[in-house]
Amino acid sequence: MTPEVEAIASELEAFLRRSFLIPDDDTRFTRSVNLWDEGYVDSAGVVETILHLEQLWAVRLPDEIVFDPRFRDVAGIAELVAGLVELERANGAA
Amino acid sequence: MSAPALTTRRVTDFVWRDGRPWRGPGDGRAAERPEDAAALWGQFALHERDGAGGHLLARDRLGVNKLFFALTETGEVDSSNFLFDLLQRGHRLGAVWSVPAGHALALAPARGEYRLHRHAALDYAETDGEALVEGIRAALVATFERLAALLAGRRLFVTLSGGLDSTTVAMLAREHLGEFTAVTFALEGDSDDLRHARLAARAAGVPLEVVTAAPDELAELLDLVLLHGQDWRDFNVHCGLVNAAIGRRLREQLGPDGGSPAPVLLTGDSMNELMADYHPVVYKGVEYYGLPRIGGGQLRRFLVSGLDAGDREVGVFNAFGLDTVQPYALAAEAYARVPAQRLEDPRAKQELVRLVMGDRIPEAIYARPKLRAQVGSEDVGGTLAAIADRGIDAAALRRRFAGLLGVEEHELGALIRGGRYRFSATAPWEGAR
Repeated sequence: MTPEVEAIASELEAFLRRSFLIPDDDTRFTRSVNLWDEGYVDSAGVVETILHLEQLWAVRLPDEIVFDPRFRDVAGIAELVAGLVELERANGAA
Repeated sequence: MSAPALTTRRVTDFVWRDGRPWRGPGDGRAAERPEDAAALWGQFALHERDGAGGHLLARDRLGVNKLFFALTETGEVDSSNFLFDLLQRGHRLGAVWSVPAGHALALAPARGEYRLHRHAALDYAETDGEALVEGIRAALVATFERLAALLAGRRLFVTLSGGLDSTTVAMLAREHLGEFTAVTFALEGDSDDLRHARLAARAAGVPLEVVTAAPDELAELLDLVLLHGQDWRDFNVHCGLVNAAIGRRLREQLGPDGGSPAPVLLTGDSMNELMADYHPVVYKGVEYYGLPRIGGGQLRRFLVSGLDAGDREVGVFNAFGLDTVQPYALAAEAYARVPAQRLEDPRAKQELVRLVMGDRIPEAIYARPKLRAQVGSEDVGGTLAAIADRGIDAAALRRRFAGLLGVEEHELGALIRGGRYRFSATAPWEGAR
């Protein structure tokens, strides 16, 4: 995991805990838990999560990203966002 | 009274192209390339074939009509307005995809072609003052004039809750489309909705059909609503139950044939999405109809894009052989220009409708607090209470929906996410077969 992915994952984990009232002692909640299947985030929560990520990391998440197989857990979402951040940087530098 | 059987009747498309109605293949192909779909206006979910193994699938701007597809073993493209229809034909849920709202898809599996193109998107550029009001008036008039041509000769109904949205549709329908019957729903006895629906019908000068149902009768319709409404989320299921009760009554009255072509219902749906006019409801300590905690402008975009998933109007009425048109969805471009800041004002819609419609709407309807049709009165009740009091909560709806589709409940997480049905920007078939 690159430092950037780690930073995004760490912040996202904290955001999810704070926003969806996930207790610190919930041992099932890990960076690889399926957020949708396990009921941590619902359909409305997806939207809050996307907006948070877009605002914090200054990227636009394409509509189809929510159906990317990696868009299911903290680690996968962090990878996707890091990829978009990198793409944004490359486009900005070009 | 038993619940009606499932139907896979194809949903009717209402399409306008090149300045006139497009009524199907007899008028030529609606679009040959995905880009051509930009010339289409209306409410549609099209699947056209080019005769050489190529397919074009296109869906209207807001996704009012639904469109799912899957590939057969021989590489053919199988499509339907209904997810359960494709599952009944043997496709796995994981191998069924939707065409997203406002997109057209060119695909030819044998040639490896898969090209998804957005042909229509709402422009949220803000306008205010007289330009906004004039824009909305013009869009509504253009919509109803086109509907007058598309619906000529059809028997018409307008669903009337007694609120501003449906009353506006009723008044415009009376002006542009002529005679129709208004139809309203009451769970039992008198209600605030019913009193205002009577008032609105009188103002429009049309007869009012009152559909009543007991809570048990609504519960009987639940499976049909889940499957034809293509959603398990409470806000869509509760609304779909009201529509199912109306649809069932109209079907009983119209007889098994119901006339040909099918009668058409006009509804006030989509306006609440366009004006971000939704709020969670608390009943017996439980919150229903939860929304993302975001501001008015962002909430509007989410709600409008969320029309992609859920079929509480078109799909549910279709189960009873009735066609449905949502005029606000057709005039959406004008409402998208309402400034985001205005949406934060709880009286924004009343003020805007007053500017657009003036005294054509009875004063008592302007003055009325906003209510959801499925809630029914200021004290929460209606369909929400009828279902919730039977222990049918959000988890039960989800479980039942999965059971009816014959899928595992966890699979639903990949079916609707962020208000959209699952779709793919790139060819999904290699991984889905």
